[in-house]
Amino acid sequence: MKKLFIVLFLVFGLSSIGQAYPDRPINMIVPYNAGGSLDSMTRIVVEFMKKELGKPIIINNRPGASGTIGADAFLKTKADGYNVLVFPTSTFITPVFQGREAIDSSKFAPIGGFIKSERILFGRADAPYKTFDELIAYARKNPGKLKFGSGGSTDTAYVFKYILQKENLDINVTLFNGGAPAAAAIMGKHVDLIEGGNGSPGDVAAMAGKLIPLTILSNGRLAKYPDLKTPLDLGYGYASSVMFGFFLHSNAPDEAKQALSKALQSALENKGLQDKFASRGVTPKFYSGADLQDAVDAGKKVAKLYEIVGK
Amino acid sequence: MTELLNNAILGMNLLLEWEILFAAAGGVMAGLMMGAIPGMSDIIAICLMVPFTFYLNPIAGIAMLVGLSKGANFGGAIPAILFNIPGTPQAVITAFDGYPLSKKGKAGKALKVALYSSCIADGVSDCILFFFAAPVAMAAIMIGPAEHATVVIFALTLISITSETGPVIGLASMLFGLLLSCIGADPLTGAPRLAFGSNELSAGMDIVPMALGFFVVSEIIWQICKDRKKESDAKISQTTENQESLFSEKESIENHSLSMDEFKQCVPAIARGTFIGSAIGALPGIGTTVGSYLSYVATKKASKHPERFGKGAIEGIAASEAGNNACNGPNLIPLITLGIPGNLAAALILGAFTMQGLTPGPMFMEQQAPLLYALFIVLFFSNFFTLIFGAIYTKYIRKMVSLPKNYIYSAVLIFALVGTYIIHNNTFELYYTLGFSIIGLLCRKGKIPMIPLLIAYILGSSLELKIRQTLDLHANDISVFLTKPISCVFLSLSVLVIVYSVYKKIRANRADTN
Repeated sequence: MKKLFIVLFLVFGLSSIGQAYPDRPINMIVPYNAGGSLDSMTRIVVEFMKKELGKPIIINNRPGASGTIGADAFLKTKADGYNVLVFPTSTFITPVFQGREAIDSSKFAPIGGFIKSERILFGRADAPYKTFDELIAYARKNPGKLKFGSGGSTDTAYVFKYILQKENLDINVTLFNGGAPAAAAIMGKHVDLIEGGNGSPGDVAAMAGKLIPLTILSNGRLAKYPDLKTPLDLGYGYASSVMFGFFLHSNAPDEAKQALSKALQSALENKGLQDKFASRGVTPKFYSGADLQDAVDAGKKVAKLYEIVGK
Repeated sequence: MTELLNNAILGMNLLLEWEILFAAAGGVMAGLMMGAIPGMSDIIAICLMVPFTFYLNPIAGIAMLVGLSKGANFGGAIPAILFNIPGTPQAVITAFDGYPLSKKGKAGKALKVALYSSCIADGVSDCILFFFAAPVAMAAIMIGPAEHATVVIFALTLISITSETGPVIGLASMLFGLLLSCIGADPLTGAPRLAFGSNELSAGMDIVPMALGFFVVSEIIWQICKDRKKESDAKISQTTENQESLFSEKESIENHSLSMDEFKQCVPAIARGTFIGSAIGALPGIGTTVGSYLSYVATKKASKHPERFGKGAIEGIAASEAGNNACNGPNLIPLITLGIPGNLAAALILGAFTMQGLTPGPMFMEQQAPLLYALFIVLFFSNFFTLIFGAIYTKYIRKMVSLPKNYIYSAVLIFALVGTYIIHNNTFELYYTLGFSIIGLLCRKGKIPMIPLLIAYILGSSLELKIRQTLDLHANDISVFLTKPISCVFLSLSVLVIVYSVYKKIRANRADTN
């Protein structure tokens, strides 16, 4: 009897050696609340990736401290390739703006990205400025009069503050913690300018004609607003960079990294997935691990703004 | 008006799916049962169910979550009345009169009052939501950071000044709650404060561990201590009481049913609660607990015999339950238009909207009107589910008072601790429950009012956020709170409340000396 158990144990225990990845469910950590925009987009992507990998992917929400609690929880898990983190690249430097150290990105292996979020500066349609240049001219003539609120991206707010510093403008800046409060504030005339992501409530209002997009504050251009330029195009050295992607531990098995990357790529090519995203106004695309790493590095540059611009 | 009817008719087309009614009914039933288990509040139920809404039709998913919230708003009153342990934070006030009435053996009556008040107030407030959503949404945009801050200041002032033990202690309790709310992440930048280097503390303490520790765990410990004292007194006086059950269950029809006269007695309280609850619900970020408390206080002040309150007055139960349930419907307005949830349950419901690809914001009412009106109609009919399920459930659940206390306390403690863990899968939060239960015990011992502390704790970070945003946007010019009209109105109201209470005290002192 005992021998039977030993044999069975060996058979089942050793059978996982030599089995292709994945041979058991994968644990995905989402460092934000269930239902938030990153969480909902991740769930869509995961639904299609499950079909490619043939094993369930279990989502584990670990919100808190602007994503750092989730990142810490991920680092404490085993580096066996079965623990994945979904993360926006801008969050590596978020602690810097809170007076702390940036998260060490060398501990994470970027697998692939699925959304590049461009941050747009919006003004009201009834404002006396309709383009970015007109805004700058107006702000110069009316120092201290205009008000700006960020729509959830702190590093974009710092990029804006840097532009103000370079152009020597006096605009009051504050932070809102999401796209919806920011959009409500600008429509209610409590602020004059907001930044919002592609597809955020502010963007929805712009597409309905209530707001005007003035410029892009991140480092990518948008097909739907072809005239808008990035801060890098305009000569300011800094632009925010927000890409949502998956990360494994840097010392996870290569087999896991490759399998996940392939699964992500196939999932993103699926028409069903594209349709689900279309209703949200965002277009997911596959970005390779290298692209994701570039986004992380580009984002790190913005961390310097904390010292240059001040709090 | 014609636009309203158009949207309503379009909305009704969307409702022709059984999935939606099942989801709403299921949500109400689940909410009722989970709300009735102290430790498994509505938050936890909603947290667990939000991921499932992903797979449902949008109206079904959201109707389920709002049904959960409705069911739990009443469900929480059940243990509050039976054991003085609220199942949800907003049921705390129902216990003020519910528990004394239950101790007199009239648990059935108390539960019926709670049920009818909840359903009527919820139904009427859903009608208010249906007819006034569009104009209120337009007005909601006028509330910016400055206005929101002064609304919260007004609510906090009102709650502290009207506290049972007097305005000064009420204010002190409120300020302590504000201090506790500072622990955690800075609401503007997210920087850690009072975190002593702990990554967990830097995320801040959530409302659920706080409410569970404060009201559930500390109440159980308090009751155990009181029973110990009773036991030792009984031993001294050599009586042989049966200590097995909480109190004897007097099975008489009169004690467990509600007569027409008694119902008529409660109608003004229900009306007051509905009106106050709807108004509070429509204001962004205030919450059901405030609605319930203000409704209770208003009814007590309007009553000809205020001394009956706190000893089992049915109008007290009616006021508090009407107040908290009337917030449900109107709460959706600031949620949909401003993306600002009125309480934690609403915050989770916001998540369900985003999950469906629906983006709450200023354009939402305009662009998604048929869907929203369909939702409002479902909400109205959900109240009938609450009535039916609630009536059946309370008929049997009140027999629970005859169970031995040890089992009830043990079960509730386990649920409370498990409930704390489930929210964020974080065992560290159990320390919060423990810490708050100690604070709760100290409050009970020192007769310090707990409601101002609770509400200040809930509203603290949003108050701070709004004040700082206002100052950021106006170059730190604090006079902006007086120059903006709406914010000036609420600040003046707050000052008036304080002045009025001081004036009343001086008059009372003069009357004493005369």
